[in-house]
Amino acid sequence: MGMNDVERKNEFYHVMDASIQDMKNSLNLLQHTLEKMPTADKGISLDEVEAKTLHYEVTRLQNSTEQLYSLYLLENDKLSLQIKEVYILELIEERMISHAALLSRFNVQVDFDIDEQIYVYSDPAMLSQVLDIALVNAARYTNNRIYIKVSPVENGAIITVEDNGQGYSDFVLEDFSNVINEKELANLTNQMLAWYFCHSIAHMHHSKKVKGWVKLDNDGQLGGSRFQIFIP
Amino acid sequence: MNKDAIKKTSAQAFTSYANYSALVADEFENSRKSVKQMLTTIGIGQIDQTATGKGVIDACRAKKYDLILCDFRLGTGKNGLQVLDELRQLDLIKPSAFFVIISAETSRDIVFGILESSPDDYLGKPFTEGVLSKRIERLFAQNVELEDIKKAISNKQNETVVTLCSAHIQHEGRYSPWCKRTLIDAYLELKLWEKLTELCEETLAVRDIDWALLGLVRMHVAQEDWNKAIKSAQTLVQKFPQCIQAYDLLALSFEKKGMHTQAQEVLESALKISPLRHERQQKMVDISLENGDSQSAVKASQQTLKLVTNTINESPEQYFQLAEILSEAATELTGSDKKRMAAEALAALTKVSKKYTNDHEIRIKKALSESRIYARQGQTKLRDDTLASAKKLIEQSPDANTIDVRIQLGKSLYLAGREEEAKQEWKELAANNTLTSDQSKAMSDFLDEPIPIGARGKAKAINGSGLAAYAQNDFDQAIELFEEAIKISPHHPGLNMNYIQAALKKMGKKTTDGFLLAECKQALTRAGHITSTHKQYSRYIKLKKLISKSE
Repeated sequence: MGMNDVERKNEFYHVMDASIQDMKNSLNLLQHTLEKMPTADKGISLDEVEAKTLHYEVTRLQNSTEQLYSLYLLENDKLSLQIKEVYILELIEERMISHAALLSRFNVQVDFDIDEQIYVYSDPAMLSQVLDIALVNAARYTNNRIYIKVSPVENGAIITVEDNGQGYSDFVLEDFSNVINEKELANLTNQMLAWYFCHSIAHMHHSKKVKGWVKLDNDGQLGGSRFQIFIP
Repeated sequence: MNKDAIKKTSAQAFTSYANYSALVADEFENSRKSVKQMLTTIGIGQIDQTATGKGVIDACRAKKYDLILCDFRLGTGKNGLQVLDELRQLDLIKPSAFFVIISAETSRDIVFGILESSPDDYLGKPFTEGVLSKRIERLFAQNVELEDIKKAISNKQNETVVTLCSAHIQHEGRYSPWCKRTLIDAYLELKLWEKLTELCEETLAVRDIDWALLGLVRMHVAQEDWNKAIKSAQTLVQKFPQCIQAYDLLALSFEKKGMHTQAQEVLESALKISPLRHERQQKMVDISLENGDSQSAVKASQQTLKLVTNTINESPEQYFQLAEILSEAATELTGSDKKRMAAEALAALTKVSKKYTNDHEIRIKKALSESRIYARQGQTKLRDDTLASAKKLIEQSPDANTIDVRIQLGKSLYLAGREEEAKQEWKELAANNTLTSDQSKAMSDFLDEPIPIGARGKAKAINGSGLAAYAQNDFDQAIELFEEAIKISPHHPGLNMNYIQAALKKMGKKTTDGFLLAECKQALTRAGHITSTHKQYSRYIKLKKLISKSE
């Protein structure tokens, strides 16, 4: 009857689970250390370019780890999506605070104008991961500005993150549209994996047959790229 | 950009948090130090730290903290959510305090386990000092805004809760969604069904949302309208497959309707999503036993024990339960598997006696349980030796001869082939004591079917087929199937009476079949142990009369 099988689980799951928890812990500490490092304006010399790269890479690694783990859980039907009301301003404030040091190193000015009363029904942890991807990407490719806006629409709200960089090449936009149409999922770059993750999370939101979506284009007010997510 | 804002927050905090005390719990020293440093920067006056779950409990006994930041993983002892459950049960956290669970986990079983314990907040790793500061600021701000409502809730003043929440919603307050959910709880307590329906339906007209659907399910359950409860819970599960309470309520409704197979299926789905609640695992044990599913009962009772070990909810009964189930399940196996499982049953008993060394009642129960394990293994000498030593222990400490012990003694005597002695023991027990309904049920269930779980399941399944044949008026087939089931479970009153009913139908009004009639009388004798408190008793009396008329 093999009752012992009950206790036996996929070994890969344990290895991956354990090592990712470890990575997350180390990253957490590394990030705290980085935040305490003097910046150029304090006079103590530390190679600012190095610090900038270090910080960006750590953040990216952090995002990748999160999205890899979430995608893994999603594929194995183990991802938790705890829908509750999420006040978007609170969430964005938290994301801004999380990335304050990085954005400051990159000399990026972030503006947002969001009504504190607006909330959506979402999983705050998952929505945070999506916004992290959008923000860190924008920070990397912008000239010096990012603008975040929330527009309440019928049946939900759209969150927009845009920048004043060069915008995406047609090539990237085409890849993106393949990804969200779930064509060509093989040989994804890490960046495309990130968009695929955003798309998957958006898609898990629904109400009365309306589903969430993500969009990527160069049609923003600042002239650079624009990322949008609709949460019903 | 936001740096000034952060500095301002910290400066404000310094004045407001200086009198607050916090506890940081994390198994890693570096993490503890890091969080402690953050709290210092935020301006919390007093910060203690600990590495273990036991450390948290001890610290909370000694001091009432305003804020507890506790990692989910706390080494080998209790985890964060077991700590929270225990602090609540022991009433060691003051109502205004915040318990925040910190975790690097996003895996569903852990997230669900955490959320089902409903901590005040849940902070995913990694996080920065700024985020922690913001969260604490918001928690304290929310407390100010909702203080009166929370006070009314903890004082169970439901009318006040309704008034305050309604006012908040009316003024379109920030916490309106929270107030609506709280209103549903209050309406349920006050049995204000119309108000509850109105609130839920009004919400659902705008969008699909789990708590509004759940409110309606909870109402149907409270009204014991099981059909409506099942229908609404099924809709909820389909729309929100991660709404765990919906599964629990659906399983409960199926159970109440006597649909145990469906109840088990639903619980299985619930356990797939959220396996870390011992209450749900125990429910699974009960339902599996009802369904005669030994494999599932073994798994769930192992999980139950694992989840309660070293917590406040651990009790000797969980060890005895596991030993009994393992030993019954072993009878379905052969060879080394059978031996291994019986050994596991004995090991569970060794564990419980080591845990509670000075408890006489447990020593007696252990010996009685061992005797049953050996009986099921066919090891008659060991069976009789352990039974004898149990009896000796009872003589030595008469105080430990509790009602539960006497129930156990009856079972062991019965399995040792001393059936009349067992029945006599229980007769005296029932005559001279007031028994709880659980205690009476334990005895009558055992006498109905003194056979292992798996055999009960088999008999139940064949009985089901027999009933189906009976419904089709195929009485020959029904009689055959009931006979087959009776061979497995000879004393089951329901089975024997099903047999009698099918036989009477076959005979009809015209003739009496001497052979069948004699068989019916034997069936009555086999179920003869039932007493007036048995749920099948009136049916038994009716059939007995019918048979004597047929003679």
